Amino acid sequence: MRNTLAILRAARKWSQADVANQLGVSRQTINAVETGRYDPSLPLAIKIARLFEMRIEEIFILDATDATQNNA
Amino acid sequence: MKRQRTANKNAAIVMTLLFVALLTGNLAISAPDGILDIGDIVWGGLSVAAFGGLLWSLYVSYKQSDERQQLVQLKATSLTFMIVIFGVVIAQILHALAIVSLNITVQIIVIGGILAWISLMKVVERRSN
Repeated sequence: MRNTLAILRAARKWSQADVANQLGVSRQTINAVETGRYDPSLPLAIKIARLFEMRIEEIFILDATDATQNNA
Repeated sequence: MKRQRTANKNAAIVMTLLFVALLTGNLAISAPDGILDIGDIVWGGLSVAAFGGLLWSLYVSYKQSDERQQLVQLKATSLTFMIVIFGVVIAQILHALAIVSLNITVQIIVIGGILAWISLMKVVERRSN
């Protein structure tokens, strides 16, 4: 799953540590989410959306391959 | 930083208990006489306290971790569990064939299991970063 977290963070001039502190997770977790190596849980995804004042689907984008696997 | 200091303090306590337990264990095993004396009880108590402390440290670490770190710990723990179960089966076979004493193999499995868990944590963490 792709996400625009890095772009949104950079637009606000926040570091990964800043975002991590506000969300109550580690900086490594934010890095893993941004690089697509970890998909956050629903509660964390909602917290992220609220932090950036956007909807979840505007931040996290389901790839075509993810959609195919879900339909299989 | 406070989390790391707590983890370091817990690790120091557990390692000290383990070290003392190992020292007293050597004395107990080197002179087995089939009689339960105060030295055996102290060694047994220290061993139980040391591993109880280890389990407590693992529990505290898990509760203080965020969701991704908890997932890493659970993955490493499940893999270690499979390795330890395999080791126990091998130990049981070796003991049944009177090749190696069960007491020795259990100690090897426990120490190996802890080392495997630490290594697997690092591998799983690296793969998720």
